[in-house]
Amino acid sequence: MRTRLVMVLALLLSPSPWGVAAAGEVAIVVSRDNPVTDLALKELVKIFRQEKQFWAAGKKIYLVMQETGTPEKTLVMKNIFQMADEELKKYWLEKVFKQEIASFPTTFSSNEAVTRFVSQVSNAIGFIDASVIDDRVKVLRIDGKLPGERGYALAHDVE
Amino acid sequence: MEKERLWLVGVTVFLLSAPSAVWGDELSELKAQIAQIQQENQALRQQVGTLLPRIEALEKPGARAVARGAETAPAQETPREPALERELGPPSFIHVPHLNVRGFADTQFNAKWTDSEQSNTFAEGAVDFYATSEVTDQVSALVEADFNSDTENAVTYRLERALVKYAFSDLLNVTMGRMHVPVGYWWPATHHGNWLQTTINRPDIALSEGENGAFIPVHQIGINLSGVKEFTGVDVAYDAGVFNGRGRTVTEVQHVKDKNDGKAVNLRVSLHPQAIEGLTVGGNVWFDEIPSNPPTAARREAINELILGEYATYFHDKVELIGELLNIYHDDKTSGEEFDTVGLYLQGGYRIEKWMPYYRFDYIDVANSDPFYTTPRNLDRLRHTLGIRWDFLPWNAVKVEYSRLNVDQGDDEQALQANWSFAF
Repeated sequence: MRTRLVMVLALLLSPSPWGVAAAGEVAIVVSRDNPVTDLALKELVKIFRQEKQFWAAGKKIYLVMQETGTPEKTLVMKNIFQMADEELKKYWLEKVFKQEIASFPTTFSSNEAVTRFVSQVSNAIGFIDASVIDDRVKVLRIDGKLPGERGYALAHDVE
Repeated sequence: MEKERLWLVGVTVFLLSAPSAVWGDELSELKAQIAQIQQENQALRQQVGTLLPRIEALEKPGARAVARGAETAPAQETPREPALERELGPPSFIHVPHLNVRGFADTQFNAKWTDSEQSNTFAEGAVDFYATSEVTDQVSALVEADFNSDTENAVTYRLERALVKYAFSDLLNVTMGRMHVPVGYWWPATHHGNWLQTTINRPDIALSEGENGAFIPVHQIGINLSGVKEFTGVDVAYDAGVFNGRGRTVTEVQHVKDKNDGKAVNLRVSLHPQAIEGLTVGGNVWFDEIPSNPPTAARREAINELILGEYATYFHDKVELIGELLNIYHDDKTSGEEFDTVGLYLQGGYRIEKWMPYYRFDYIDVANSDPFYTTPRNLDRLRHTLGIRWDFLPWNAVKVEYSRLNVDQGDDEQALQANWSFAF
């Protein structure tokens, strides 16, 4: 009985694969088929701004966004795009008009929808609340750090 | 009574003995049919037993591609074939091309004063429609057309761009069709979207063929390669293209027939230093042979054209700065003379919440007697523009602009314009 109790406690106290995600952190997720595991924040910014549109392996990057108003989108706007929502719309419009992208990125209304899409599309990348990640998707390290680790770039207290 | 009893016994005996005698054959046949049905039932049970594992395998996620291969190999052992995966797309998200249609429009009020006349009028600006579609992951198409008006109040229609792009990678995109040639900065950045540009009017050096003639080539038909490469400390973007080249006059676009066999070539490179966010510096080289225009005595032979462009832009936070210089060299085969035209503009703006006051200085020094630059593109000009832009609602902007234009050997002009532009 005591041995079982110790095992349960050890399991609970051991770090999860993505650290202990603090509330409000955002995880960058890709398909488990995607070989990428780590991105520099600078590279992530270029991917989200669609300045970089291809994975190193040659596949087109499929960016998925969340609707305006979600805490995750707010954090991404602040820490990645560094612009207001209206500026981002203008930014996408300019990119479409210059034929740098063919349409605005696909937008979903929930973490679950993003997870479901990313899990099934091998070249997709998206963002979700770090507290709801599960093993259907792979969480990327950003500058070598996972959600929950000190200095993680997509936490509320990181500029 | 005894007779009746005997008769009844006889009938009973007959009835009891009749089945085996009359229906014997039918019973044998029925037994045979039952045996056959049992055999078929047994065979079906065996088939169901064989198929069930396959059905279960098919119901697992990601097994759609297996369905096509099930006839030739055991389902659970068949790997997902890449060719089929491409054909089917991801399990639940099959790509179907969508047509996205958007547009820009503007309307304005103009008041102008020249040395000889003054006028004021409401004016419809351009209505610009464009449609885009992501045909596949790597192929996209764009068509842009606009409705405008000329000075005689006639509505004009122009196909501005019609092009298809194949994106191999970030380093290589191939675009083919009618496009805004990447000469200088302005056109590849703003195209025909009035709402996208801070000012009401384009710089004078960036006037297009349809605006009484262009100083530089704007609309071209050809093929352009473009891409971006990240190096340590700097991102380098390039455009390299081959086009029909300029037409015989400043207004002609050779969108169907090239009047000479020689093709124009253009190379543009721009640098984005990573240390200074928002800064871009770049330049381009354009070579062309402008076809002869025999009805004009001074244009019996071709003109060789070389355009060297340099530009720098800085967009960061609240600051917007654009500077561009273009040198246009013409080597005229008819006269044997060379002509050198210079055009430049400097534009700056500073955003204060929804407001952006701005200023632009335009200057063009057209080479005297250049046979290609005919009236009104043969006149030197200098313009100051002072304005303010108010983004009062998303997708809407109101701009008010005052400009003063000095034209060498022509009427000077002052203008006050108010413009409402929007995207839809």
